[in-house]
Amino acid sequence: MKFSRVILTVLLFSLIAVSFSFAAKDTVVVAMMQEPSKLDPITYQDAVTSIVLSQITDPLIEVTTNGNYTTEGSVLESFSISPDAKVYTFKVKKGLTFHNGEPLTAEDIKFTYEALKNPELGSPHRKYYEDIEKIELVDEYTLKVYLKKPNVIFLATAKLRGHVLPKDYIEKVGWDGYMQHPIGSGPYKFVRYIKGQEIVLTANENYWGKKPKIKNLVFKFYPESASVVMALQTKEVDYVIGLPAEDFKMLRETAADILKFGTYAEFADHRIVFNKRPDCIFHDVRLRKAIAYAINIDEMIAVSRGDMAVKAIGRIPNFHAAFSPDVPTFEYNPEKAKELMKEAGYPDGFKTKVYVASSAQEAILEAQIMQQQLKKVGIDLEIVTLEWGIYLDVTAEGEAPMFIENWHASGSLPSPYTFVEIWHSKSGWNPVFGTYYNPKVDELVDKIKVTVDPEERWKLYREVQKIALGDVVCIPLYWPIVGIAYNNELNIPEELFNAFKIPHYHINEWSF
Amino acid sequence: MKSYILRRILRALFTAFGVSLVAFMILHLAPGDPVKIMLGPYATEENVQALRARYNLDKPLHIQYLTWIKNIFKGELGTSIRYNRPVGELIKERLGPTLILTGSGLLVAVILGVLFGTLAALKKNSILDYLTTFQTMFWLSIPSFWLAIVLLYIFGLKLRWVPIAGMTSFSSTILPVLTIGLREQAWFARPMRAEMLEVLSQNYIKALKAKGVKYEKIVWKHAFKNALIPIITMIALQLPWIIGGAVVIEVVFSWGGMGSLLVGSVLSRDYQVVQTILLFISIAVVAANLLADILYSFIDPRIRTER
Repeated sequence: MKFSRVILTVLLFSLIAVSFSFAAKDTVVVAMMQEPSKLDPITYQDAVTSIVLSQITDPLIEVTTNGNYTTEGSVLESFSISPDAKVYTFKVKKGLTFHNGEPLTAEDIKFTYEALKNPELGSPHRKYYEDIEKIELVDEYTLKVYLKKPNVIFLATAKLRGHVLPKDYIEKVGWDGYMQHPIGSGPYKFVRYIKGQEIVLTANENYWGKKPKIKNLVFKFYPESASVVMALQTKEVDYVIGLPAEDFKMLRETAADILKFGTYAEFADHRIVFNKRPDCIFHDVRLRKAIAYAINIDEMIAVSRGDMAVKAIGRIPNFHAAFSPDVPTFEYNPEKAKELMKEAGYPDGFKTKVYVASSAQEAILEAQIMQQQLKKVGIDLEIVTLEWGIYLDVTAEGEAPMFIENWHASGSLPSPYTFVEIWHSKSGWNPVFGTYYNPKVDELVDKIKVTVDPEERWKLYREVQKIALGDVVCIPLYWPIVGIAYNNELNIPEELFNAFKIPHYHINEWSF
Repeated sequence: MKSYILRRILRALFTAFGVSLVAFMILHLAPGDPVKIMLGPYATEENVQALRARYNLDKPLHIQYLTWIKNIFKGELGTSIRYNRPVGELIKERLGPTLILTGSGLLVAVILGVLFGTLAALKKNSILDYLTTFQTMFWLSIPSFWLAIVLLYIFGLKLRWVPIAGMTSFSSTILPVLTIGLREQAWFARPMRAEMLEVLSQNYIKALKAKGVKYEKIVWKHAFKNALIPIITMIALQLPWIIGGAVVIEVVFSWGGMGSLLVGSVLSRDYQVVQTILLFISIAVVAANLLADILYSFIDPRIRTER
């Protein structure tokens, strides 16, 4: 008697729970494969924290699908740069309010800039804000930022990592208080965070921009990919952030009847970097060219990424306005490679090494293909696999003749500048990526920083890529593609599948 | 008696200390730099050094170890590198869910194990007895990680009886508790069967039978109670295994307890968190062993005289 009652209760409970989870669709559940470290808008290092906070707050500036800066979707009415690229004037939209009803003004933006600059708060992005000389409040809605030296790239930092923060609120509750209950002017409002379980947000009915179409937004954490794949199939979760490429491909094959699939190319590239120091064999540009001719990139991509990559032309991806379609490329041609080797004094080939990080599975596959391909022209390639931390040290010190690199331009700092800045002889990255010196490249990179007109600036990016890649400073391989699998009842606008938009940064535009 | 307990406590403390040292060394000698993992590959040297200094990672290993131990005695468990929060706070948040999971798992395991063991003993050499032997061998020989995923696949994905993960509803706790319960009951069922058989063959049971006491009364009032005593000490010994096994199960079922905290922290080389959790677990193991020893010495006075 008692026992059957227990069973009945259990069944009843599970029925309630099950029916509850399939109730009317006013809640979207987004799975993360990692839990945010903590909801600190200044110090976070992880993408998941950025994603959660970006629903709650608004960026100061936005980026269009081709990488141009825009005020659309940002708290700005307009912005302008002085002709000497030293003074930035920001005009804030009037009538914006934070979730607690207080107005968003230029003072809040000044406060956010200062927080990011403050060494005591310890933002990892602090160095991007060090150039600020002073911030001047012109009136309630106008702000002028003065830089110590001209720098157009500063606009990328104007995104403020995506978070314009409420000054009065933070001064009242403190930073710890803010992390307990973050607010902003964004499309979703914070409801609760149960550690280890979920973060719940609800639509901001007074949102000034595109009002959320789905009332509740829940982030859940699934550290195990096998579980999250099943949860996606039972529609317990509607969308997964950071789904491994293997699982994406498997779901695309097996679950097409219940899921939708979307892809976008990341603002990133994979490439082979040469050590160009005088003591290295690849100091000789003819040998760098020989390698470029001797490898078949299509074959490499087919093995390591399948259709989840776009073969690169230049470094800056083809959806960005600074993409350069006519950089020198080296089509697979082993005969030409042999000729160049003979010219450089190695008619019978030579021995060399390529270094890869042991965690970079794709790079290891690519190195193996490279090994086979180079063998055909008489180059004996050894693959050295090292643990990530050691790999970083060893390649930076110039021990590796070649290494395979993945470069991700950070989402909260969307500028193509980092792709080319590393070639400047004074750049901190220059020695890390095998050293390179070309006065013409230095001049162009310097010029990029002071060119206010975007079209002119993009032109410079194209030019600098042409010169550096003509010197075969590196061999661009491909731009990686991210695959997203989501509930087929969910509608996500097509234009969000773009590296500068990214669907999960614009959940307010989703609908059921 | 007192000196025996004292000796056992001293030995336990020594063991816990040894475990903490080994855990610390393994962790710090493994490749991978938490600061570099945290800051990403392109951090400036200045930032790396500043962060190292902040978390004491720029000091020699033995100094780091001694500082850690010293702080523990002061009640300071250190700061997590990844979360930038006190470790004690993190563990406090996660302890509850882990205790719920392991506690319910243990409860299910004990109930099932005692039930199966007793029934198998009462129906010795019957089909039921053989089935019990078979099922206990079966659960013990499959890894819990695999069992968790298979249970999820059948009851979560195919039959849709329970949600895949989370710990918000009662139904989502069924599978993780069952995963622990099914495996662990096997540990209790076999000794329970053996104990029960032994007790039932004792002379006092025969005497009760001869006196004409009802069979049911003999079994439940006399035999069962006596057979249960060793099981109590077994629970103490089995507890650490359950806590250890729960780590994997928590990750599969997205259970936000200490296990998932531990796995995430290992991956990001969050030394302070991993060290402290390992120390906690080792203290739990040692304490459980100590408790078992002491319980035994109460039950069986012969043990006390041994070294």
